[in-house]
Amino acid sequence: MSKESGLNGTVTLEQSRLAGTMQEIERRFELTDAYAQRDSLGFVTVSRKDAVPLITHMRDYLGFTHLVLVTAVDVMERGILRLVYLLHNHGLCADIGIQVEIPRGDNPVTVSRSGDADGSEESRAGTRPGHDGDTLFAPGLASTAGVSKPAYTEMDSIHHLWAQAATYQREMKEMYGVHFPGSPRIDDEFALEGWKDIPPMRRDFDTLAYSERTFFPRPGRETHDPVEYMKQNMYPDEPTPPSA
Amino acid sequence: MSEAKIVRPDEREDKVGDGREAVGRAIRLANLDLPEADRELYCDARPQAVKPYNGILEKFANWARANSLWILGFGTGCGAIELRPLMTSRFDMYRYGIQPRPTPRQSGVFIIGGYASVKTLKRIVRSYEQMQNPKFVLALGSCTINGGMYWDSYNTINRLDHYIPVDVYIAGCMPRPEALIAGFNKLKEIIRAGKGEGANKYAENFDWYKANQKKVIRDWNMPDYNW
Repeated sequence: MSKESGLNGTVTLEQSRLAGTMQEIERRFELTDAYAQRDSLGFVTVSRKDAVPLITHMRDYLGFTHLVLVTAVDVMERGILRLVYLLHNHGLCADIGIQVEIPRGDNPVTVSRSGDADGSEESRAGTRPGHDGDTLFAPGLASTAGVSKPAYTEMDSIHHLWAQAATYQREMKEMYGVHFPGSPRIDDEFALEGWKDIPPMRRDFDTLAYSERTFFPRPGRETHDPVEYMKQNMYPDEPTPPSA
Repeated sequence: MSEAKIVRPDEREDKVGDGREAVGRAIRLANLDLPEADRELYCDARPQAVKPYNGILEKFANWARANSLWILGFGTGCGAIELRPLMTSRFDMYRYGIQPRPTPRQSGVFIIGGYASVKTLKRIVRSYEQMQNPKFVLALGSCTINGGMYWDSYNTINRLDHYIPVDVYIAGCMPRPEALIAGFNKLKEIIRAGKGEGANKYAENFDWYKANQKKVIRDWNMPDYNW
């Protein structure tokens, strides 16, 4: 609980204006981590089963009525996706970020509901029976048709607490491959149209390779290291600074 | 009134490109419910190359076209912000015979304002095809040339001239309104010299353009050419 902030290292949760709130939360829920980033911003980590009860409690009893954002961080080294729910308390003028770590799962390959333009038979083989989202397994698993392992990692929806959370959840399904069962229009496309690769914000998606094989790169692009290039052009005689 | 025949995209005979069919979201062509006689008002046939007039007539037409450039008011990227000062008193594009129009059917110049995501490209193609001949394209900013700072993005095209013909590129990130005016003057030179043949180039290389467009626009749910 008294873990110091990673950024400035000066504020602890006890000193911050979130101290009272944190005592309340700690009495009721099991936190695996808690720290203050600054006086008005703290983060707690809870398990998936505690997450929605904690968010509900904070909204209904502790005055954190404003959902600032929901986002995900792909920590592929540890095989997890970290979801962050940032809530704001207008009375305290302070935010708390609730972090939930869920397994990353296999990379889902999505075929948009509007049509699989050149869908081959192999890619259809992995469709889960009874699921209308046209969810396919990763290509390596596509041959094992009918396996009950879900292609998407799942998290509980909070659209019943804030209606706008449904939009965040649609985006996270498309960009990170996290499914939120029951969330309105969760299977609709959000920003991408007809996307057929792994979700693009997952860190093992190679965006440069994708761009090069899709978008006709124009030859002749040059890249310079800014330090080298400026030195060469502006002060070639000066010695290179040791830090560079 | 005759019975309207439903033309679905997969029944059309002018399928081009890599042979993929437009499937999925049922699309409804605007001319579906019209009587046969009026159907051609909303043509979805392939574009045809238009021959120039003879001699002095074409020169006169080009002079007139160069002095009346109507741009499509469709801000397709961040560069569209440069169009606003262009309209105000400081830069005053009207003195060059340039004015914005609200619809592609009244416009002759399409300014692509910087980066074009795949989603926007679909609307760009649709708008470009709806413009009437002769039509010209000004591509603004580095992003239209080689992708600019979005060159490795998963959702942004790299070079615009693979999808629609481009007459003038204006380099910069972003080019200032003065650069845009210089681009317009260059475009006028091109038009007066009779080289502003983008629409004909599009019609002649239609299959190539369509194949490129369909390579990136995966859920193709529009007519192959739309009025």
